[in-house]
Amino acid sequence: MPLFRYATSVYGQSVLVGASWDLIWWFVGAGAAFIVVHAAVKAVAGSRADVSER
Amino acid sequence: MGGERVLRHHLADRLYHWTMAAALLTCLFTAFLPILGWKFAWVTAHWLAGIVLTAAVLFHIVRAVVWQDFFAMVPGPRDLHASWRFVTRALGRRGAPPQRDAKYSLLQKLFHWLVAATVLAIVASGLLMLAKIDTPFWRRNPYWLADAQWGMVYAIHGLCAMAMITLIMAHVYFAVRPEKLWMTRSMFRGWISREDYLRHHDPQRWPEPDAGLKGSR
Repeated sequence: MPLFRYATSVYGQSVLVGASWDLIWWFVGAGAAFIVVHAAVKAVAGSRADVSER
Repeated sequence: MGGERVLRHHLADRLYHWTMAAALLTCLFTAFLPILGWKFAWVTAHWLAGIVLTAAVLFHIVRAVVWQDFFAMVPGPRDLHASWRFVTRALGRRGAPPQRDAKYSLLQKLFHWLVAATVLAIVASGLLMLAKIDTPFWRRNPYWLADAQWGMVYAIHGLCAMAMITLIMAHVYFAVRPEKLWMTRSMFRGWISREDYLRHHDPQRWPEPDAGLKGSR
């Protein structure tokens, strides 16, 4: 997956024009993965705490 | 604010937070919706929201340096010590419980600086990009930088904007977690209960704002 977008200049050279917008979904996915993992860890830790208190 | 309520966020800071949130979300929606296929005239709303965001950030920087306790947001040895105790107990080892936090925990401080760096990069690159558009206040001048340099500016702006999506997702997630709602409410009404203050914070490290105490961080 390309990280950046390039265009061809009038001199035929490749010129950087910005970040690749395909990365949006990687950043959204990273946020979603963090939320899911954190919520799962907290849920497991919470259930263990409940067991130890009984 | 004595009694059962402890002031956590002044009105000015809450107004800043929500102004920044509105400006940043406007910037993100006007930037990414057209990329995702929703075509509309987005440029004017985008740069106007960017100007509001820049003004809000400048207001916050001046307020944090001049009127607020700037070092309340700087991680210190006590934060690292408390975090170490928290981690060792989370791993099942015995030891003293972690100390209560000052006004902000270590993770909150680190998150703040991560957001600050990202937003400052967005603002700085965005201000440069204003030179590429015509507005009622100035004429465009795309010759300030060479093409490759403009490419770098656009790449930084785009990457930081996309990273902001991840950071906002994490921020909202923590804001709505049940055990964090006592803090989230204070960004609306300004105060936390004395019970929450004493449960989560060390009064020596974050003295009650109106108590006139001087505490360490």
